[in-house]
Amino acid sequence: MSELLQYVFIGLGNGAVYAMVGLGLVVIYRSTGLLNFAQGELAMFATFGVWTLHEAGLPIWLALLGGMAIGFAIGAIVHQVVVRPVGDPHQKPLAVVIVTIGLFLGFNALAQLIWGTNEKEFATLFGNSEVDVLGTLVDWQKLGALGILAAEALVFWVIFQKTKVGLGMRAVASNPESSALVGIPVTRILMIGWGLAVSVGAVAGAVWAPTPGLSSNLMQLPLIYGFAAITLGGFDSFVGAVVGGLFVGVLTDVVPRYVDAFEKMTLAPAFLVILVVLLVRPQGIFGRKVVSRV
Amino acid sequence: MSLLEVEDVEVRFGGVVALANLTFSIAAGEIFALIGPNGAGKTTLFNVVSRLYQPSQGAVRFAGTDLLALPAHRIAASGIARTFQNLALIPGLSVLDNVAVGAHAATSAGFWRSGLRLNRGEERRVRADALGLLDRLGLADLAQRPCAGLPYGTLKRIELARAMVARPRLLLLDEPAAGLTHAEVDELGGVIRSLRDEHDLTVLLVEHHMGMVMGISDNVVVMDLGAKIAEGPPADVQANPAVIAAYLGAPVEEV
Amino acid sequence: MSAAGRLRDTRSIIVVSGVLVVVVLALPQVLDAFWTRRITLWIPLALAALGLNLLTGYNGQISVGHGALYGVGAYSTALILNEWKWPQLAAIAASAVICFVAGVAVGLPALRIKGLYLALVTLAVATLFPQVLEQFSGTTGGSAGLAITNQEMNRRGVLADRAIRVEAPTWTGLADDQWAYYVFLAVAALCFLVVRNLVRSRVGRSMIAIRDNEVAAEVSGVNVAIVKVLTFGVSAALAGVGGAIFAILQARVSSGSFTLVASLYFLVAVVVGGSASIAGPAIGAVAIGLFQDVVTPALPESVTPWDLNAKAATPLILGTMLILLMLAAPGGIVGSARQLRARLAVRAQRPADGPIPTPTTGGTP
Repeated sequence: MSELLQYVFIGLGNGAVYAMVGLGLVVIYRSTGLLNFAQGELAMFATFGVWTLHEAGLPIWLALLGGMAIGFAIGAIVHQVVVRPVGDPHQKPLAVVIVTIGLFLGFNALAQLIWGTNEKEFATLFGNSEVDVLGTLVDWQKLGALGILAAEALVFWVIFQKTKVGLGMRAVASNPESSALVGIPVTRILMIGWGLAVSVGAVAGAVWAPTPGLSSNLMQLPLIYGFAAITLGGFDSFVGAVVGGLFVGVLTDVVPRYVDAFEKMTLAPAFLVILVVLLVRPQGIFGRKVVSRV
Repeated sequence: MSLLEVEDVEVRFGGVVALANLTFSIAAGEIFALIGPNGAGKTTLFNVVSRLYQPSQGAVRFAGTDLLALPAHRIAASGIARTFQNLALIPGLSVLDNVAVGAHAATSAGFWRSGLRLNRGEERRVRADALGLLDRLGLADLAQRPCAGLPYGTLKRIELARAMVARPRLLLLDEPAAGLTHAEVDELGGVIRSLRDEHDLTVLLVEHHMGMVMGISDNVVVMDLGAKIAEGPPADVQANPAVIAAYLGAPVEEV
Repeated sequence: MSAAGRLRDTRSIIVVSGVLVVVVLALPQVLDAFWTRRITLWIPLALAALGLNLLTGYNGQISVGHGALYGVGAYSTALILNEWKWPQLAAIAASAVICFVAGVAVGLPALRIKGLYLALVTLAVATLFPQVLEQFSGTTGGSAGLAITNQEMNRRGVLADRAIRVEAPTWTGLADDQWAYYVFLAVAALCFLVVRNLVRSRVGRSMIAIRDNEVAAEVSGVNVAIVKVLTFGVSAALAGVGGAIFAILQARVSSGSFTLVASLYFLVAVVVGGSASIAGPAIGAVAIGLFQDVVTPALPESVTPWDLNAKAATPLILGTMLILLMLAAPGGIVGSARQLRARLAVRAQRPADGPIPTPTTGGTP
């Protein structure tokens, strides 16, 4: 029993990272209406930024802040240069897929070119010790991840519900043309949205990196887990990303250990979540259902 | 003989009632118009007849058979064709191929025959039919052009050609005169009438252009807010006070 | 266009095609065995791109997971050749059938999942596929993979496993690698021809109609569900033929060849070559092949003071190309060529002073 509980805690800790990836995906979905298949690679690149700053001498938490700033800049520039010219994702989904795949390949390759293919050690944000929770030993990193997720969720709530920028983002997400007409700087808002998304991605990468080590394929699986999180939670729901992420985390850590058929297919539970939700209830748990007119 | 019978049809979207107890029938060979203010439910009725919507109650019979039992892709084979309010052409195909799509239900070459090029006879026939219709509508020299960039009136005629190539018995025209100039509307009225005469066709049209409706229709149904408020020959409907109220509002009470 | 203009156009197409055919056929005679084998490997890529283009370019169903179908084709062939010892072409045909079924199986849920969401599901499939291979490593050999072998008498007169290879019959006078090139080129040409026939037929029109306006297609009598599912099946079968040929050429299969990157490269080939065209996938495959085999190895070993990994240059170039193409030339090479031709035709047609006719672009393939 305490073994199961241990896996649940590990799952929650990992799920927190998936939820963070999910939050970034939701910001982008809500503002620009697309699924950002490059989210993982952009986050990974920003995480390498954190690593580089830390290697240069900055303490890890400061390096993280620096990496978040780098991520913000990358996100904003990517939106301006690459995403905005492509147009409406609902009209041309293929163009969006191609552009995000291009970003995926490009940033992945760029990371390899700059930092090479060897795995790098990444300093933990929370140290290496464990603490006793409900009779099981839990790694501080997992608890720390949950703490950071909670902080992020709070920050998102404040930004979106209490600030002018957040109001602007909600307006743009709902109706970009009307927003422009009332004077909301739509382009700037969208750039901020993308910047925020990659920033959050940098945090996700930094929390995730210590365990597997930092390399260019750091975020390839977490990207899918993040998508599973928001599919389950609802593509346009922040609450959904959090709930979905934690659920997918626990599912992914528990199922392969107890079901032999899934032992090596750690992605399978998340994949099934995506498939089943899209077939049965595409708006997820907390998402809004969209009805289209013929 | 009634070609199309709409009986007590109701369509709901969530809490909104788009069509309520709608009943009317169309005789074979008629040009029948459906008019009414915006939001009256005319296109909704079209979508029911072309099987894109399922009514929550009621019956629709086409040539005696239950139309509601058919899925959307079977109406063409049954003899029903339609055009769309906002044009539904295929930008990736040439004008000729757009019209040829309309013949899909009348042809049968599937993946095997097409892949192995055993469909040459059928293809020739389809292209000849399509070209013939384009010629009839004065569009033959545009056949190989892509649809993109052509004038609106031309696109509407292409869509009409596509609907006609299947030799339908019932033609549904959704606002065919929208966006056309006066001259084009007159021409369109003439085309609809001659198509009806030449091809033993029945036409149901949704239209706002009163001149055309009153000019070519045999019978008119007036709808407002999902229900029928008047029915009859154009002259009767024009004089009906309920119809006038629906379009122009009731006269203000003198104080 | 004037009759003389059209004649000039047809004649130039015939000349260009003729030259291309001669070049393509002459290559194995001119190149050495190493290079012949390298360009033969471009053929499976072209077939996978052909399949993907049919599904995504012509029918509008976005798949970022064709690498998995390619893998199913490869592993089916490996297992058929190892366990049942069928002739190679028979194994390829059988793999095509297996992949058709797999494609239909994916195509059914795809009826309810469209656009970006289908892309997401197929992306997840592509990422999951190597894990599936690991899970069933008893059959698939996991990351070590399977060698495809034949039992043959070796020089010492002992029956031993030897890697499968394509053997040129003696009457041809060709080397093995040249024969393999011609045989698989013929298979590919046949596939391209079948797709071309499909696309220019009733079926092709219905695929394109579904892509651009599903409702219009339905109302015209197209059974949208059947066409979409069958297109998925045929698309998968084509990718499967590619995978099968790949397996035979490599004489081995291992999970490392069927990661997400494979799926992404197929998409790159389709986009670079020009989606919704017949020649596009072939051109795209050649473009990727050139980058991978000619351009990247020629790049300097270390341009930067720190550890430059030249292998990463190909995906960087391809990724950048994808983005630039979407922004500047979404039609890829074929699309841009068509636009250029149209613009030249307009210029030739322009009367001395009069309205400029609208340029025609695109059109039926």
